[in-house]
Amino acid sequence: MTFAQIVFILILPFIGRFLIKKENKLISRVFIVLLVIIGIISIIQPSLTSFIAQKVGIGRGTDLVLYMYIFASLLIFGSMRNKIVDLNRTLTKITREIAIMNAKSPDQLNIDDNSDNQGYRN
Amino acid sequence: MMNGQDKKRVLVIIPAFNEGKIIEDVISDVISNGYSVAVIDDGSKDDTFGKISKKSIFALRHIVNLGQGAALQTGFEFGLKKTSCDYFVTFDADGQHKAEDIESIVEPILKNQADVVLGSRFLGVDPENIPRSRRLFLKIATLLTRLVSRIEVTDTHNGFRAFSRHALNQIELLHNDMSHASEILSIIHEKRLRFVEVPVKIIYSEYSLEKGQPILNGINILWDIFFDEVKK
Repeated sequence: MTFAQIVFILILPFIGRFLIKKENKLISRVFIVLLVIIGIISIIQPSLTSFIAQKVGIGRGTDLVLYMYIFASLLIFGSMRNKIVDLNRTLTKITREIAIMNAKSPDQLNIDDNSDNQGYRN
Repeated sequence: MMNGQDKKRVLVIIPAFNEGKIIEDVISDVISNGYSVAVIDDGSKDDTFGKISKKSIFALRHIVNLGQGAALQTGFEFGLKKTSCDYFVTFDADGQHKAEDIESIVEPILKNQADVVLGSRFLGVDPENIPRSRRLFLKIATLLTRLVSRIEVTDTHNGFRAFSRHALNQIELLHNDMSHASEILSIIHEKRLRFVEVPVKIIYSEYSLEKGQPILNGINILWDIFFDEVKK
């Protein structure tokens, strides 16, 4: 086993641990653990990925890893995007609610305002 | 002719972002015509909120900047929940619309001929000082929006519109940015709201040109129109 192999094998579990958060669903935790195991196996036995790649008709093992990587990236990209859209909707709702709650009506003139534009009148 | 009582039942909704220089004049113009006004300061960095707070209007403030679509939706919800107005007009804060036109834009709703009225700058009255590039761009945007939202209008990106309470109850803008214009058209089509277009005069002052949508913004709108269609 080469030095690089040992380093990567030692690092991988830490990355996995770092990725797993308490609020993760069980399925995503299992997924991360599986990824770490697959990672370690393919570091120890690089020919294994080539073997699987040939079995599924992709050719080289690196191609297989590349395809999986692209697939995973797209999946992550999509779920992040959805999360951001959700967050944005929430932020909009909160901001809107605050604006409506603190709305100043025509009879409440803000005369002593020194245009610091922070002052709400209730 | 609308009487004073009718005019009070019209709520003019003005979304404003960094319009401190001109917002007071715009509001004064609308108030002097006898209408109720709600200005939504969309998290401006300048003294827009300070200025609108001094006016005898409904003044609302987004604590962060969300975009014109979001500001309009805030105005819609406020108008529906907190006022007893029956007619709602959206009006630009940069002084390019004329308060005298409000009457003609509300009229079809008053006469129960429409639920939504859209102002058009390409219907009869020629816009003042419209740059040639802007005219071309607006025509292209209109053509594309017509294709996508399947609704026959001559001017899709005009901020001057009127809604009945019934129509506004069915509108919920989810796009926070400028693409709300095409979103409104899609909703009109989907909910089968009755609409008409009326000519309105747009004044292209130096100020409004400076503030208007630059071409890059236009590209964003086009992108949104297409992307939105893909999502459906």
